Amino acid sequence: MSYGYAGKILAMDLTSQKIQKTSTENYFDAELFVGGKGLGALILWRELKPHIDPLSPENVLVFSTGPLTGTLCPSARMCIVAKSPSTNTFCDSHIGGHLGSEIKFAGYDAIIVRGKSERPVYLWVNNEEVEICDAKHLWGLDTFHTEEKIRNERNDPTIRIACIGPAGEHLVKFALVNTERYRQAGRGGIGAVMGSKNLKALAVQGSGQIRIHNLESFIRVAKEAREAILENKTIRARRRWGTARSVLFSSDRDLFPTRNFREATFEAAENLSAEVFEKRFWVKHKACHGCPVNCGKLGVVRSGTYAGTVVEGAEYETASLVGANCGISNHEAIVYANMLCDKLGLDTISTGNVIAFAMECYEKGMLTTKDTDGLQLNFGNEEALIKMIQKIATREDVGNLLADGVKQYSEKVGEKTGAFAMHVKGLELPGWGVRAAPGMGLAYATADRGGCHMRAWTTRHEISGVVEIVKSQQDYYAACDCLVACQFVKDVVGKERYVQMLNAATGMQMTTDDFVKVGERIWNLTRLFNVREGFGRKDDTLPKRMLTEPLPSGIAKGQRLTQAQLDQMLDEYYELRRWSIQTGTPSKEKLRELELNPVNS
Amino acid sequence: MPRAVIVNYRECTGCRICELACSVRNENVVSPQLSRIRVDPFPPSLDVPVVCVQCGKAPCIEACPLGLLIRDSETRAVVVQEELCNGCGSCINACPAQAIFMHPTRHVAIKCHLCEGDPECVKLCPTDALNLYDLPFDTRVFAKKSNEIAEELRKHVLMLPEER
Repeated sequence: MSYGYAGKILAMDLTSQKIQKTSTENYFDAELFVGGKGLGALILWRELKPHIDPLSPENVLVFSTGPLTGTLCPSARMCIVAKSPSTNTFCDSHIGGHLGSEIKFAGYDAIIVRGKSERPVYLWVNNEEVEICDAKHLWGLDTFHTEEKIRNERNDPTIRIACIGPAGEHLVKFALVNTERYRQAGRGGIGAVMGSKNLKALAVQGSGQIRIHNLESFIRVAKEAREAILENKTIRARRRWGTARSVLFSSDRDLFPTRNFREATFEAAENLSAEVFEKRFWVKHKACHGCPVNCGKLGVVRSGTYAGTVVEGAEYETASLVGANCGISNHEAIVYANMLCDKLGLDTISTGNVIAFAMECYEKGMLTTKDTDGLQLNFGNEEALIKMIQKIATREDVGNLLADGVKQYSEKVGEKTGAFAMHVKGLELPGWGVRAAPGMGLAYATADRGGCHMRAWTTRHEISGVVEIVKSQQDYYAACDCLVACQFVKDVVGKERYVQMLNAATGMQMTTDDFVKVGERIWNLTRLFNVREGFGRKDDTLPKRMLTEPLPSGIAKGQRLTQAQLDQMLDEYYELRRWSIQTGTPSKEKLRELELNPVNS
Repeated sequence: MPRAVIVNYRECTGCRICELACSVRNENVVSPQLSRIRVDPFPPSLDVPVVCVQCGKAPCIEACPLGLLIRDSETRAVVVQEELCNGCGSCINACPAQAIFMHPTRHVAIKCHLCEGDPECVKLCPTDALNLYDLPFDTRVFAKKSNEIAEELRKHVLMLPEER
């Protein structure tokens, strides 16, 4: 009998239509890899041949929960793992809402999807009953209608669904997986991987239970964690204002991507602030399953061009990348674009980036209206932004080029544009500039899925000490990503409580050191995966703009991160990790210490 | 005087901590399907907790052919004598709020019994959307189906036109 874990792993091959269930216990060593990201990383390492095309049937898609998902542990979610079509690296894309818990209540810790269906299908998982269903009638529908249609057909409003929109079907490199309209596995193009398998949706109904090994002690710690969360000042602000609270902080600190990262403070930041959203847009707080934070804010546009738009947001990243980074100062246009991206299945971070990049090319004369189907792509043109989002989702005309992401699009527009193509390893940068926060530079350069702010996050202005901070966050966050704990509470809950909850839920006897070691092990495993794909120190770098152009305005005016500073940080980082300073490959000693020898051989 | 868990619907975030808390308190496992409070989701993004309002004049008490639903003299909750219930479903059909559920394995009716007067869901609701009230009128007035409440929320909170 399993505790904490649901107990089974569901696997299906869409090519042969074969369905298989295995016991979780026999599938992997839970003490070493725990679940979530760890389980996904192990499966990708074991199963993927090097250099496969991420959009080929050979890629594997893992819907992966953790041992605390669906329990009373505050804010435990799930992730979707596959080789990323944006970067060709390992990728875990995290998603909230209720899907992860539902998968557990249906009896599964993970759902693995291999191969490719000949025709569009969706997966129906109703506890023991598993079926690969025809999805011809769903293909072409947006994410909102896909969910509604499946629920209506099955006459059950409580079914939890992950699906792709037109963007995923058209293999847009930054297509996402959507659930409950406003929650997404946003980054890395996981939606395109689903699309490449002709998999429109995963629909789950679960009515089972999760057994807890030591219920009394589990509940005691879960309640303690919850109290710590509710008492925390930062979280109190987040409960009221969501992540949008960071807009003014970021703009004041010269971290806020503005006009394709040319600047880092936005003159109209006030318009995108949480205070404006609260007064004019939000009607209700929203939370993921089991989470007391309710960072989600449901809003309705009351008047004007976008009247009637309903969306949860705008979240900080969307306000920064679709907003300031495209020079848009109208908050109603931003939430409309936000809704459109959710509905069509596009990641707002990458979408904002690729359109901002095209805007800069247009303003520099490197693109003309001939190249843009007549759109005047100036910064601040909200109509052009919205039209472009629609074109990208279905790869219509010029949208077809933007749909491949900043890296590939820049290569097509011309070599010179590489200097301001804002990505790392092909993943477009999120909403935190690095010139006033060098630690973010190291975080982006070394993140396992490319330009990502969720692996380590420090807005520290000084460079000294950031290498240790980034390394220890990467390890701890990777461990949390195995549970799968939400980024917004992990520092408040703390490793001691996570370990106590993990042990009480599962019956394991892990120490906090073991737990952090799990994180380091996973970080090294995803690095091994990327090394096998040909990545190394040469790729751990930043967009030229960050390294050569000083900030033109704001409190950090004149500041940049120099190549020498980045090199210095990388030297220290590899040394601290005991990876090769020349190549960035994990050393044999480190792998042995982390018990990664068997997977390595 | 009735005493009941009363919901402030706009405050519900849909986190469903109440379901988890209830199933742990009453069944010693984590399972929303064993909870005596359920949160129904409605598009576009609304959540409606469904829980017994402990009606003063309770249709479920009248509906049980075996007379197994009684009012607890201490907590004033309407309780099912589960050990005698044969799962006929009469009370479930009679409830105007659809707040009585069938236990999936024991096949008996289960409903909110106010946790001996100290409801776990109220204690753990992070937004105070759930509160325990003593009220000087028949709480039956609150007994509405979740879809009716969702429609009210659409009209008065989202302020959306009826069909969109």
